[in-house]
Amino acid sequence: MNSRHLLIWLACLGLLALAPALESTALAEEILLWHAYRGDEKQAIEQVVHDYETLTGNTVRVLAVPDEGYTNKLVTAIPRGNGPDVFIAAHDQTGSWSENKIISPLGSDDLPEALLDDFHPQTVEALRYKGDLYGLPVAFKSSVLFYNKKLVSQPPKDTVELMAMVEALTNPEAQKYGLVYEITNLYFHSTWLHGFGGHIFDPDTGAIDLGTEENAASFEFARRLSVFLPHDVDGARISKLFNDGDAAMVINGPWFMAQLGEDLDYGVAVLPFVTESQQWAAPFLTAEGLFLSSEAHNRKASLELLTYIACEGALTRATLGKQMVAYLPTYEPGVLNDSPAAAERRAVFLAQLDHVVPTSNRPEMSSVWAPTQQALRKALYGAPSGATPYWMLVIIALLAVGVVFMLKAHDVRTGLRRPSFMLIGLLVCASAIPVIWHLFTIHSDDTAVDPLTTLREAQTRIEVVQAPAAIQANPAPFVALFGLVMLILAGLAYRAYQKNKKRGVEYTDTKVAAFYVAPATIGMFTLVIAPFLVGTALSLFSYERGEFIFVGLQNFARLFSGEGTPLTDSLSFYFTLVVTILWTGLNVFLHVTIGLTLALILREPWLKLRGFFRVLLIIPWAIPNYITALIWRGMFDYEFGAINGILKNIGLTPVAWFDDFITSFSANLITNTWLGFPFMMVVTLGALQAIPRDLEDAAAVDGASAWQRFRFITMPLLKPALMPAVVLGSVWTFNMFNIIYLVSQGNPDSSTEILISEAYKWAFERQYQYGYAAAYAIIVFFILVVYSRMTSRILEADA
Amino acid sequence: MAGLTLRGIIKRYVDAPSDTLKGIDLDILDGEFLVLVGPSGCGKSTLLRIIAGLESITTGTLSIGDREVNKLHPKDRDIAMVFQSYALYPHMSVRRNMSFGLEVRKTPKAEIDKLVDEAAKLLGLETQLDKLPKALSGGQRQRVAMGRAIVRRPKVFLFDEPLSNLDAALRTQMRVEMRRLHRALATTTVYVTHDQIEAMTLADRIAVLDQGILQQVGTPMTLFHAPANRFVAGFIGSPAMNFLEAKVLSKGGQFSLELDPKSSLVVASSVIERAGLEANDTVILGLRPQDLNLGVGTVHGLVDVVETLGWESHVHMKVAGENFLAAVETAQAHDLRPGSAIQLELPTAAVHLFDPKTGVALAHGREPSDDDGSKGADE
Repeated sequence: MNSRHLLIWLACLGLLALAPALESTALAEEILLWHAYRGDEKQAIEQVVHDYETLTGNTVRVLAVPDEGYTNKLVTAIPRGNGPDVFIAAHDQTGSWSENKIISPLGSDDLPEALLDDFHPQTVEALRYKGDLYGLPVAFKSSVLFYNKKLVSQPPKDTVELMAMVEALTNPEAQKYGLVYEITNLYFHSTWLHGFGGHIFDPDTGAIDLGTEENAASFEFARRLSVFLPHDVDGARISKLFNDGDAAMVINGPWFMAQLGEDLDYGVAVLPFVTESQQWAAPFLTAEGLFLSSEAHNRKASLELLTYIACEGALTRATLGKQMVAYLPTYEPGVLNDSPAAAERRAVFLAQLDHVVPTSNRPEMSSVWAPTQQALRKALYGAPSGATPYWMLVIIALLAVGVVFMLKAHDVRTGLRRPSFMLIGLLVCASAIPVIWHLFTIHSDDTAVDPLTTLREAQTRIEVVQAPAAIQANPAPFVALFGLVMLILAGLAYRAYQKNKKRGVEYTDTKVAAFYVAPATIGMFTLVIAPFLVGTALSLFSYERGEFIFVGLQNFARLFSGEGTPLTDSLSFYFTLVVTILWTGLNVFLHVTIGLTLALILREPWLKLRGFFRVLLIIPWAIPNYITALIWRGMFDYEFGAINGILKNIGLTPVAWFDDFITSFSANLITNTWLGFPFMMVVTLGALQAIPRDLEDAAAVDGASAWQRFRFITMPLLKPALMPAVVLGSVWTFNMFNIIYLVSQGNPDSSTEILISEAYKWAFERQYQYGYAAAYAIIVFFILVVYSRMTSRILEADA
Repeated sequence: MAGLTLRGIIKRYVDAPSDTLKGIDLDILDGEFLVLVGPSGCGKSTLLRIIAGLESITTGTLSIGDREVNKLHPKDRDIAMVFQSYALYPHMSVRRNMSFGLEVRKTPKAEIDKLVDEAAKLLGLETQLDKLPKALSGGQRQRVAMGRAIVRRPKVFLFDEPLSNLDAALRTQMRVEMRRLHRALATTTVYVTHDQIEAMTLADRIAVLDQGILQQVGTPMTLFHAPANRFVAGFIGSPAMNFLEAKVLSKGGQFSLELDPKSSLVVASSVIERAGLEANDTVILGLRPQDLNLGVGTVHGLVDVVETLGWESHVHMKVAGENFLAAVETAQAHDLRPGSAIQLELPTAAVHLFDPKTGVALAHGREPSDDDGSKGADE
């Protein structure tokens, strides 16, 4: 094929790539609606849209986006013009979307003011941010008190009654509980937090204000309750307990009804009055809103659709979709054909609306959850020390140094014997024992912490997560530096060219050569070099309110300052670095040890079914790692996981794997070891094939024990093949995002994050601090560059 | 130092259809150089590896000196082995290769150095000690392998075809060195080879192994002059012995062997009697190519090919329809042309008679005398 043909081909391919863009401009007139509904609610919204289309003749394209990553998808799609015109989402992101110019406020021209009176004021309030209204409420959700009518004749009116009933109805030995709810979840705890007069944001200044007496009192109340509640229950366990009649009362939202059996005789009640503070318990309110995208193509038609779904569509959504709709006329007598029981429940949910606090829709709210829940957990159950990873690193370092000394006592390379090294090695290993002991003592020391202290800690942590105000920096020095680097590179390239020319290298046929090199060059540039350059540039910017501000090295300064937190804080860069080193070191150690052992066993002549075992052991490697990760995550589940099932069966107490750093870290480690050893095994098996059996036989006849044969003969000969695999394996492990993200999810309290997953959190879960996340990524890059340079130096020196 | 005693050694590999070794009884004397010879696959390497402890024994006992070592690990048997591949540790210097065995036995450093230097001097490796094996020639590697064996002064040396990777000239040279070394060290040695010349030249005694069965054990000359069966007869000696089927004829107390109606030879009646043969019995006649005289005689042959090797020539011919080889001085074969008829004289003293069914030797023209040094276990 000559070059002209190829160009034509490339042009055709280019046109194909453009086709979707052409299509989307052609259909710009239809309205695009995104939602994350499933089941009845999905059916209902589709019905409403269908009614709207019949009524107006407009076309609406409805896209049900999976709930996972819905928000991320909105945030990335809308600014690029690929997003919806109208979308339905919970109200709590309103502030963040407004700041990032994802959504557009509804002005008085857009909606008749009177229309808002038809919605419950709390639900409208939830959709306001900085005075502007950003959407119309579709539905609302808040917790209420569910009670089993067989066990509870009258729901408790106040907390005194509640406490008495909980105490009376709880019998942990019989697995009977008076009250069950996710006690460490802030969403449910908000009931008491507000009930005791507490708040998350100071109502006057709007600043986060956790360290108050009232908040502490609510924590104290939860601690009193926690004595009677089962530890670490999740949604599934709660519904099982309630369905089985083992839980008399449950605090939960309207979705709970869908999980309850048909014949269960239960009632719902407004959450009790808090006697201690003389206020009503007030859970968080979540309002689902219809939002108008800032990039909506046809504002008028989009608004029309939005209003139709919120108002006219309310009845369909309430009946077909079983929603608690926010449009009040729906609840007027005779509109809904509910059964008496259903009507009673709706009334309770409506009544609860008088005692709710909308979840704050400020951007800062997203950073409140984890630290506050961690504080609550500490106040209820105590918490391990943040020094754990450091102590673990110390222990491992001591053991490693000790073992190296012991090995050097009889040197592999020279055969030199140094008996004193054996003694030193033993002493160093022994010195790890008191450290291990110390680690155990700080772990068994899990006593509950004073609520006010934990709240103040949480307050600090939240402030840390906030992006500091970006200070515009002068990009000139950076641009100059970049230009200088480019000049030097160009100079080096030119010098090399001249040198080659002098040596008589002829540059003929360069056009043909360029043609051959082009695909790889384009690939490398688009897939490696360009993202790297963009990432590097990004690390010098701060992303604020939808704009990138050049800040120079401020991101790096912030990173190396460890966020100004103590080193034992899981948000500190150094903490994460230590965890990452532990993670990489332990993983690679286990991969190599297990892989090597299995390879040596597979080689043994007495082993039968060798081929079968070989295939069996490679399987973990052959399965996509995220599937394996999800399976392991399931197996580590507290209630339903296979591992706790086995523990229970052999009479041990089940372990709440993700509640403690060591267990959570171990869960990640076990999963990744499962994934990682087959590679090392295959590499070792291959390398073993190349070592003649005669060598080991010769060593055996020479008088070497099995260990000596391994250490002096097999291992040194395996090393050249194994070392590159170890380097590769450690780089993979260092960046093994999937396992952390899917198995421990950073729990508890971001402590099991590694650098790469921490970068992800900064980018997508902590107010989109892209620049800061890019700084993390750059640091990861440099650590790995230095590491691989160092190891290849060592390898070269060895060879 | 010690002798070796093998009693009823049977080796059966898992999944193998039959036993690899079918009951080996053998006494190897202290200080003896025993060569284990046989065609490939006969089990000789297995037997050597069993002595080394690298293979387990299915049944039977193996003793070194007075001690049964069936369950003893190789490292505890105090033996040294030289492998066909030499099995030098590629990552260790020549010195370290030789010292490794001493090192793991915790010999003091000064003594290791002394022993290694001695061994290196004995083998002419003094200048090679700091090189890696890959920098050495084939012959030098072979010496390092031997050096590694002798440096430890073990009770027994085992050699597994140590010369087979060397070229012919080097092999001859090493053979002599090997013999000299054994004279100097006088260590019990078991040497495995498939090359009968090595066996003949090196051995105090040779043990011939075929299909897992010990065929004959004896001095090289015993095996040469009085092979116990047709296999040994055919295996020992180069070129190999000729075999012809013959019929015993008796005429007036005089026995002769008829090869075909034209060819027959007269044999001393004592030989036939010793063989326990009677008239009209069929027998296999064995004759070494060197034992023939050409030109006169009662046996008729037809010349096929003549190979001249120098002072000796190999005359390939057909006798009684069978291939037959004579090794004679070149002068005798000078005027032989392919296709020409020839007469042969077969001396009675040179004949070997074998049972046609079992291949067992019935009688030899010349009876073994005690001078051959037969030390028993011949049959």
